Amino acid sequence: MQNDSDIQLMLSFRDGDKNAFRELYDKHKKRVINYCFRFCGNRSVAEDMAQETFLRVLKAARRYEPTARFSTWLFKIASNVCLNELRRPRYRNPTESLEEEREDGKEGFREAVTSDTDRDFAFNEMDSVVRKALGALPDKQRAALLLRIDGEFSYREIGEQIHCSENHVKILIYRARQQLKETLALVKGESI
Amino acid sequence: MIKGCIKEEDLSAFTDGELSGPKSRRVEEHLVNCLECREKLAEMKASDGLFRSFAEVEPSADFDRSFWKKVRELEDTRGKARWFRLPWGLPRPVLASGFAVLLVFALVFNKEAGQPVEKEEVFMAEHMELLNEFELIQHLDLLEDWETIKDMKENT
Repeated sequence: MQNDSDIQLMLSFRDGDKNAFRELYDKHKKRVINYCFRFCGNRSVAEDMAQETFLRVLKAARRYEPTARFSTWLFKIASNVCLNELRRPRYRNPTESLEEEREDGKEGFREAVTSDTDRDFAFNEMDSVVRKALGALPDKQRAALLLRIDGEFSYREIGEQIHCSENHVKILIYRARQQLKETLALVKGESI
Repeated sequence: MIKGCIKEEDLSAFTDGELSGPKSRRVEEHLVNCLECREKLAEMKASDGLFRSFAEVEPSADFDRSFWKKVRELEDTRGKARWFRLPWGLPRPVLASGFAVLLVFALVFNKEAGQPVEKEEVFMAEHMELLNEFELIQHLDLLEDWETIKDMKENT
């Protein structure tokens, strides 16, 4: 683990080397943004979350101890940021259907899926379908699945990142896959 | 489905390479003979593949600028916080408050220390004339000593 070059950079940063932090930031920012984007479905919110993640890394630097891979620690912070952010009332609207628009104009995951992202980027239709299916997952299932498929973290690492047991991660990922399969079928059916 | 089919959650863990060696081998053996489980596994892998091919976003043009601005703001706040703290970790306002409390105590106790002598001082000031004739007054009681007065009378 000590051979992890990111850990060496983080230790250098802890000892006062600011360039080491810049290097870590440049190396991981895109991955963190994409994780947050897939998590929340809104690019501007995702960028805010990614920035908050790196600010927390900066704040925690003095207390940093390499107990896991750097990326495990980084995505643990990112997951906390995402899960906390989506707990805020402005993102909470569980009874809303995938296609509904909120009257107050505020954007949550579901609105973002069909408005912000589609407006700003030319995603293909399948991306849109996958985003909808992802948005329909409960937050913790989505986090576990993203960390597994996207981040390629082990169940043990994911457990550390989202604060649950390895066995619970196994169940979360299984349920996420199940629900994703059902939602994909449903959304594909709707779009035809 | 044949008897002893793999639980779907185990199939999911198998996809992720998270099953232990013996359990993983059992799944592999089962898959050879079970079309249904093979199809389930293929479905899982396909949806994972779909998921992996999800388009990535690039950081916006403003992302770096706004991030480093936040970093500078954080450092400014920390700089101010550091100024507030003395080298041994005591915040300056706490130290200042401590001095203020000490000053108030000093004033109060100093004032109280002067108070007990105040009455005596006033009494003495009012009877300074008597004090000037202290020697005379001190011997006045002799005149009230009846034995002495009697002796004086007899002698005379």
